[in-house]
This record gives sequence, structure tokens and C-alpha cells, in this order.
Amino acid sequence: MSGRTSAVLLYGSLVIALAVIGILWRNYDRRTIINLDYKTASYPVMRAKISDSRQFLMTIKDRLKKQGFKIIDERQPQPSVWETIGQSRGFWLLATDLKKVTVIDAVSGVRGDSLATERGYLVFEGFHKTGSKTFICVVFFSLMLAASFRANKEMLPSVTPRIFHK
Amino acid sequence: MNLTTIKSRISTREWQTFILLFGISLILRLVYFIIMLSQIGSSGLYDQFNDPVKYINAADYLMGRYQPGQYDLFLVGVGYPAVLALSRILFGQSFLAVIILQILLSSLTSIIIYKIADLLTGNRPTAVVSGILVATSLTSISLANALVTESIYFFLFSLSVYLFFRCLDETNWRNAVLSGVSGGCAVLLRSAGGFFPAILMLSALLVPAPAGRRRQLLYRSLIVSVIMVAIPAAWGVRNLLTHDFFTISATGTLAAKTYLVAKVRIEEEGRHIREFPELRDSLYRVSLKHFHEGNFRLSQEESNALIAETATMFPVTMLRNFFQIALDNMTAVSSLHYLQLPRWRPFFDTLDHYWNRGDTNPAMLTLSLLGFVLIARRNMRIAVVLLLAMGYYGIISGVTFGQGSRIFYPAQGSEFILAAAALVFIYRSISMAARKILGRFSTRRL
Repeated sequence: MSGRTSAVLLYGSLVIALAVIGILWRNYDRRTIINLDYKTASYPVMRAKISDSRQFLMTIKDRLKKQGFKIIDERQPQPSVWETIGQSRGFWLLATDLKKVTVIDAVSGVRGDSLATERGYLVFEGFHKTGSKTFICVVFFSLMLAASFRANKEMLPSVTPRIFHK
Repeated sequence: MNLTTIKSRISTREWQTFILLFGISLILRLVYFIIMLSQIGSSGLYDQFNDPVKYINAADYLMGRYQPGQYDLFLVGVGYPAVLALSRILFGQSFLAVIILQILLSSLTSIIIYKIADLLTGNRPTAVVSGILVATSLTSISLANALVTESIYFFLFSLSVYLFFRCLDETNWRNAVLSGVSGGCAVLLRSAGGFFPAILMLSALLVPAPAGRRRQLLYRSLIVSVIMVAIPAAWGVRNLLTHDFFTISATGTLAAKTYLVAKVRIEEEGRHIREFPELRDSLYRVSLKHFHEGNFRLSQEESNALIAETATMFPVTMLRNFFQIALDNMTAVSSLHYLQLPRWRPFFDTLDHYWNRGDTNPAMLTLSLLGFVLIARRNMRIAVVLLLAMGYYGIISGVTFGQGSRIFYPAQGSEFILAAAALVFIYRSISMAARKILGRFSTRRL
């Protein structure tokens, strides 16, 4: 096998392996933020009494967008729980934070003598640091490592300790 | 040895390197100092964060001015408070002289790191780059301008390591004794270096040595270690006599209790993360209560018992958190400059937004690990010696968090030498690739 073929094979398989690791890492991050428990790992940020739930959820989403997050998922795991997941940048590789905003329909009641429902909402925010920075470093390290093992030994910094040869 | 003898031993090129490194370091630190004073004034030196107040209280206690300072002295150890007390005696109330001293010592440290790199690798580009990395490090610059132990500690520690490697091949014992004294004084400043003699002994076993010299190396490392342990031990004995407990400083145990243990307990007891500051402060108050009642031994024993109990009850969570905290500290970026240069906040925010993207950045750690592999391919023993020093401070840092890059700062020496080797390799690879491409391009044109 020629030097060029072996280099193409080595770097090709390395890039594929790193891409797979990247996809798995991104999925792990998403799974972690989705499973984040608002009861123990989120902070209460807002309490509101609003009659229009749809309007309120829109406000929450706008707030998340204004903070610079791109909404990547919206879920309703229970009838009275809404979750919105934002990523600090659109592309996972550049994103450092994931944020989950959980809205809980905590109190329901009837307002005055009209039959319009007044609802009480609690809003929680939880964070997760993405592994993108570490992943970029892993990619860099792997590629440079491969380069260092393929490089001629003369290319490596020479090490001749001078402790005994001052 | 007079100046003429020293001059004749050092080549002109070496002097040029010294002047370059010292000049870059000094200019950066002095400019930072002037800008900092214009933004926060000299009073800002004391209230940047909690630690300077503790050191000043302890210094005042040493001078017989402030009795409650004895608790702070027990916590932080005697080294830095003694420096501050000396400054008060010589220069009055202001501590600007201490900052100037730190700036000078921090600038000299870049030369020492260059010399250590030169001794261990014999590779001039790697040595110069490691010196430049230390000179331009924002952590180093900001710490030199704060009333904290790190700059003087790092200088004494680096000097000790340099003299240690020098003394291995010498017939007289002067450098071995100086290395031990320097290291011992460093431990008085920060007890984090207390176990470093073990690393020195391991290094003496590992460094490539001519046949039949290993025993001599071990003797020398033993002498250095004994002196390095004896000096802080004297302070430990003083604490034993005064407070009925042998310790150089109680801050390590207290940090492990209030940070690591609190974090593990919160996680294991299923409590909300926002309860962490409350639990941390309550654990701290318990220790403080014992201190104020004069029960130093009880406070330490209670802390040790709580740490041991948590480790026994939740070993996996404890270990996981310990290594997670260590990794966070090893990759933490400087944050002190936000307090020292508040008017430059928008600039630093932009820099952090695009480069660090958060409070950690694994770039330097990655470079140093790459450097380890590169040096290991040339000389495994030297690579391991360098990694040991870095790993030591990584492990030591696993008990406390939320303090930016200062916890892992003493590891900068070995970390930057390893990173410098990687940078030299990257530069060579890029320049070779560029030459190849340009060569091919010009051949085609012909």
C-alpha cells in the first residue's frame, strides 16, 4: 500500500469515527437536557396568572429567543407540563449551552362571576453545558496525533535533557 | 559568584532570551497594573473577593493588631500573611509594594520556566515558547495584580523545581539546600504543594541519568524533600502547640468539606441544586463556630469525619464529582480580570464569547496532552516527569470549585512546556506542508 493510500485510509476512517462520535455526543446532550428534572435541577424564574395559555407559551418562547437561544424542540410530556428546549447557537458544534424551559400549569381557578378560567403558571429554567468544545478538542487531538505518528521522527521536537550535559 | 562570572557562563543569546521574556512579562503586568489602578483604585485591591481580607486579617494578627485574625491565620497558613505584615512594617498601610514585588517575581517566573524547559528538553524553541506562554498568560498577569498567594508561590515553587533539576548533577549541596528551602517557603504560602516532594522523588527515579548515578539522585531528592517538608512542618508544630492540631493550613480540609462534600450530599440526597450555597455556608458556619470557641481540633476532626463518612457512603458519586471538579479546574479560564478591569468588561465579554465560549476552555489542556505524546515519542521519561507535575495539581484541585483558573495555576509550568512542544510541532508541520504545496505549485508553473 502506498503512503498516500494509507494516509487517505487513516484520515478517512478517523474522520468517519469522529463524525459518529460527534453525532452520539450531540444526541447524549439532547437526551440529558430532555431528561433534566425541573424539580431538582432547574430554577424557578417566573410565576404568572394568565388566562390565555397559548399566548403565555408564545411569550416564553420569545423570551428564550431574545436570550439568544435557538429553539430546537418543544414537548408536552404531561397535559399540564410544557417544555421548550433551546440551544445557544443553531449548530451544536458552536453551541455551549442547552436550556430547558418548563412551564407548569400549577393552579387553576374561575375568575369572578364570569366563567373564564384564570390559570396559574410556574416557569422553571434548567441548563446543560454541551460537550461541543471538548469534542472539538478531541477532533483536533486525534488528527494531530495521527499526524504525529505519520510524521518523520525528525519533525518532532527533539528532546535531549541537559541535566547531565550542562 | 560575582556578576562577571555569571555573565561569562551565560551566552549572549541566552541573555537576549532572558531580556525578551522578562521584558514582555514586566510590560504586560505593569500596564495591567496601571490600568487596574485607574479603574478600581488601590482600595479595590482588598475588596475584589474574600481571600485578600482573610490574608490581611491574618497579617494584622501577626502584628498583634487584630485578635480574630488568628482564625484566618489557622485557615490560610503563615506564608502570605507574613509577607503582608512585612510590607506593613516597611511601607505602611498600602499593599502596592506587595503587588510590585509580585509583578517582578511573576516576570522572573517566565525565565525560570524557560530554564526548566531548556534543562528537561534541551529544545530551545520549546523552551522559548513555554516562557512566552507564561509571560502572556492572562491568569498569571491578573494574579500578579491581586493580593493572593499564587504569584509568589509559583515563583518559589518553580525556583525550587529548577534548582532541584540543577542539583542532580552537582557535587556541592548548595542548590539542593536552596531548592528545599525555596520549596518549603512555597508550601508555607500554599499548602497545596505539601505533597510535591513525592513527585520530586519520583522524578529523581525517572529522569534519564548516567549509569551508576541513580543512588546519588535519590539522595539529593531525599535531602530536598526533607527540607521542603521540615520548613512547613515547623509551622504545623506551632499550630499543634497553639491550637492542639497539626496542620500547615486548614483551608484544604475546609474546601473539601464545604464544596466537594456539599455537592455530593446535595446530589445523593436528591435535593435541589439551588440548596447548594445554603448547605455550603451552613457547613462553613459550623467550622467557624468551633474556631471562634477555640476548638480548632474539634473543627478539623469534624471536617475530616464528614469527608470520610461521605466518601464511605457515596464512593462513586464522590469520585465522579472529584474528577469532574478536577477537570473543570484544569480547563477553567481566567475570570479575575473581570473584577480588576470592570470597565473593559464588554471587550472581555466579546473575547470570551468568541474564544472561550464559557467558563472553561480545554484548548491548553489538549495542547499539553498532545505535547506529552510528542515528547514521549522522543523521551518517555521526561514526558512522564512533566505530566506528573501537571497531574499532581490536577488531582489536588479536585476538592474546590468556582474559583476560575487560579486553582490549577501552579501547574502552568509543566502544562505550558508540554503545550509549547505541541505548538512547535504544529508550526513545523504547517510550514512543511506550506513548503510542499508551494514547491509543487512552482514546479507546475515551470
